[in-house]
Amino acid sequence: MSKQSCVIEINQISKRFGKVKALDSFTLDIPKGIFGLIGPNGAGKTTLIRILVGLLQSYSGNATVLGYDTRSESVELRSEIGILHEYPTYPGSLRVKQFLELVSEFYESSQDTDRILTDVDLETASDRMISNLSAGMKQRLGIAQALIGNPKLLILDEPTSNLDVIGRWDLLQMIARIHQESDISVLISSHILSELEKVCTHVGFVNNGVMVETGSLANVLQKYSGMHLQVSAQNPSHLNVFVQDINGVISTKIVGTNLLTILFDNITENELRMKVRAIADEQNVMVYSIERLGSLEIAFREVVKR
Amino acid sequence: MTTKWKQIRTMIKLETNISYPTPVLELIVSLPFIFVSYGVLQFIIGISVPSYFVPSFLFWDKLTSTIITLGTKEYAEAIFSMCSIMLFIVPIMVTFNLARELENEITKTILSYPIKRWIYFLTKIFMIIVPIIIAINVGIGISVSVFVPFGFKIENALLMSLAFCVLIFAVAASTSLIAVFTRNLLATAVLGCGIWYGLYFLAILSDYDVVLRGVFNPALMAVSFAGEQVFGFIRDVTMTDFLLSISFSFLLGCAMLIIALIRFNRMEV
Repeated sequence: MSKQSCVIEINQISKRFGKVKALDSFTLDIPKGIFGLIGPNGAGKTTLIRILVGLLQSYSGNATVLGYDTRSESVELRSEIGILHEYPTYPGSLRVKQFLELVSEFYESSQDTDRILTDVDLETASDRMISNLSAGMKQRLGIAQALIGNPKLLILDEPTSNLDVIGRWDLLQMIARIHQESDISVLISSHILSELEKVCTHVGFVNNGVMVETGSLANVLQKYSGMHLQVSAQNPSHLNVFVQDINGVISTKIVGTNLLTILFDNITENELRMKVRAIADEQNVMVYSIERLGSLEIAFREVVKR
Repeated sequence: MTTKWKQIRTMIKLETNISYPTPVLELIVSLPFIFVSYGVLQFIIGISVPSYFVPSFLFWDKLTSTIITLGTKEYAEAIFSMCSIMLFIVPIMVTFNLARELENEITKTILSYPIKRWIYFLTKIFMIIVPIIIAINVGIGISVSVFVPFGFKIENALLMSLAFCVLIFAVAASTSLIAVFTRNLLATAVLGCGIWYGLYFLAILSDYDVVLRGVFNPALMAVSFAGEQVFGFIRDVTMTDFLLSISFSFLLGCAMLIIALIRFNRMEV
């Protein structure tokens, strides 16, 4: 990845909170697009984000965001990014539009508040007090205040953490739409992997303050979760008895009434498919489909296990 | 990037909207009236509240006779008594502004916008100190305009006003120092008020420890310089004593504010 195409460059950052090492020689280049920072709770994601926006100052190593140094040029960099913190707090005594208008004055150029409110589906709540908004509305307000200053980069820390399923889906769709329409790069941190899989172009896995794997979503899925096949068959338990004996099959698992999951190694995917089909024909078991099973969750588990 | 002045202007706007909702505004506006009524009541009835309930015609008789014969002692006492009110109001305002926002993380939200930390911090302190100073001086001004025709000297009122400004500044600085170190609403309120009330009583009870009296010295000296031995323990106060005392308090306030600012600049939010 060329340095010029990176929006964030992090070099050997270490940060301690007392005896706890939150980040340990953390190095990462984040390209343009939607980048998913994935890790369990306490992995160091929020600490990293606080460093990137200049809210934490005492750490070793260095980082640049959009070319600005996070220590010495934090005000300049904040004028070009939008931030949504995890569990954000906004002044409850203000009205939605009034708050956005005040925030817009911090920036050199800002978007029209009415347009932003329409973009995030908050136009009907523009005169409501912030304290009276629902959790979903507050997250939308969070996106709106992050977008108000025409940012080149959005940093979203666990944006879906306090939303219900529909709220999560709507918010992720909104983020994807904003990226497509405005060409704004996005850094999303989350521990809910299934969500990031839907919107991210690149991902990075963080564990115990260390970046353990990073790359494009397709490459990471290919690398770590391409070793699973899911066979949908009429009688998977009967099929399982014979599939287990194939050379290269590490383990199998029956899921539900007609699914068989196969973890394999030292055998190509095509070879395995052919052998499964042959066994099915031989044993007279109807196979509906054979698909490669790939998910961030599997990839993350594989990476963390190493 | 926005200019320094634009950041200050925006911060003041944000402050007036977030931190000064109606109840706090009412409190500030009521200060001059508290002050004036406090002073007038002391003139008329001293501290004997029951005499306030005398029939109205007697009240007016009393008012007229008091104004004709008034001195400056009661007025000075009223001003010094205001210290006790300030020692409650200033820490509480710092608590519900700076400490509350540090605790509930509104500070984190605002510092995520392009604003320098020193601008955020000093604007907040400025926006706490200035309304109170204005309110107090309006009160002093109204009182003086009433009492000057009866012999009260304007320069004495100016000294008292200056003493008050320094007192408010020093108390606000110390409470903000507590706020940035504790980052806790309750701790700031208790320590902010508690320390100064403790010193206040020490200042009154102890007439020999100048250091302990700290910021109260200017107020004490101001009332003594005004021509009366109000509490009987400061004698022969000269203008030099007053200026030295007020400078000490001012420098103490500046030092506390600088430490608080350094701490705030390095704070992890």
